[in-house]
Amino acid sequence: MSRRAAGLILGLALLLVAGAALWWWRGGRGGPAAGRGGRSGSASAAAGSGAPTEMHAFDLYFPANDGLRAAHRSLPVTEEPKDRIRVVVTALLDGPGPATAAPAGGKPGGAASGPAAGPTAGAAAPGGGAAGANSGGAGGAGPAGLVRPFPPEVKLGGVELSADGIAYVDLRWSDHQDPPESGSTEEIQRVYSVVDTVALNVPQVNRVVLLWNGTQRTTFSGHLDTSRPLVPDRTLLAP
Amino acid sequence: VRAVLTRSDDSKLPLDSRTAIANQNKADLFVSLHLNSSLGSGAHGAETYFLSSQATDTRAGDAAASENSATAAPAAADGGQETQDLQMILWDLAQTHHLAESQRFAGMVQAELNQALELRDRGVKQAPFRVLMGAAMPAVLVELGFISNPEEEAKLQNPAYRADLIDALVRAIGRYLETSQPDTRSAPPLPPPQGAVRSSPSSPTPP
Repeated sequence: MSRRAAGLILGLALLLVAGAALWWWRGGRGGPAAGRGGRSGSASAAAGSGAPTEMHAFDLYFPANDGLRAAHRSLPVTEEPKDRIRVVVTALLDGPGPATAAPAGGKPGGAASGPAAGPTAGAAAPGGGAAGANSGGAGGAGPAGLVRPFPPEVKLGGVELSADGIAYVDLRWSDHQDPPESGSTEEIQRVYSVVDTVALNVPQVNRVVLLWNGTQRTTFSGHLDTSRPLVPDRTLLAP
Repeated sequence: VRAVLTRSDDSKLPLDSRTAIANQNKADLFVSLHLNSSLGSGAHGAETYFLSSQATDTRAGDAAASENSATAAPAAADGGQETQDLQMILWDLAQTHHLAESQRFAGMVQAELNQALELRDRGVKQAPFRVLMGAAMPAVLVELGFISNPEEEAKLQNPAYRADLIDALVRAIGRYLETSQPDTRSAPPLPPPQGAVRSSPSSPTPP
């Protein structure tokens, strides 16, 4: 009897350990910001502190031929605003997903594939359609002509959020001192895909400062003044 | 009409230096010509920008805060830096007084481009473009077409097409000058910020 009880307890303990390991592997490690530590914080820190994650619906604003178009995502986040910023920016940088796997309007089935904000191809542009069906672009066109705003090598370095609602989003591309060169529309698409995605999804954010490799620039890549925080621009959203 | 080019070759010129040249020449209009690109190759057409009011609002707030700060702590150890910051903000604000005229001029430029070239009308838009901020006169940034669009890129390589674009711009400038009061065109030029002509890290679409 006692050996049987001990075996039962041991089995339960093993199950608990395995479950915790699985949870950590699938959702608790944090995005690319994890490991930077310090003030930037990370999803893993939030998870490590025991903050629960839950699936939450977001609209990510990807470049398209006629402006920025929303792609719906359901992503695991905590209640912490910085975590939400980190998750939506990471999902934005992951791109709109493959053009061939775009179930219209659906939420992603099952768990997110990435640690914190893995790309889930449940994107659909409101009003969807073929507006940008022939678009190409550096990253290739995704669902409904959506385009990845930055090359895949660009990662989220860190996130800060000030008490007065200014989000600082640091994008990093190793060995690239400057952001990609671009015309004004391309630059607007890149910068405001981040600004609108952050400010329109995280209520605590009203302005966004975009950093490149940890530095705030006079202009992002030659046109837009990024020496001051940017407010979201809804006029860029495709009708 | 006398045109002053900020540069006549493919050299790079800091953004603030471009408006400084316009201000020093007491120009009536500032026109920044660009060729556009988009992340999607399907984008095409011309568009004309003037400075967004959001950009000027933000700077007005910064200027007020800086002035208040300088008044409250005139003997601060970094007072010199504050003065320089304020000077820079005032430089940024130079365009604020000309937004209405800039918008009017932008509409004329866009109309001429649309009419002459049968381009897709991408419209008059606003953005916080750095190159427009220091201009002490009505100022626009004109995107003449997308070199990321193969068809439009081919057109732009045709000298006759480029001449048509310039003709459209000249007509727009003529229309504007005919319909404006001289005293609404330009304000006394601001001096460039001392030691603070901030260079742009890159200048991808000359001029």
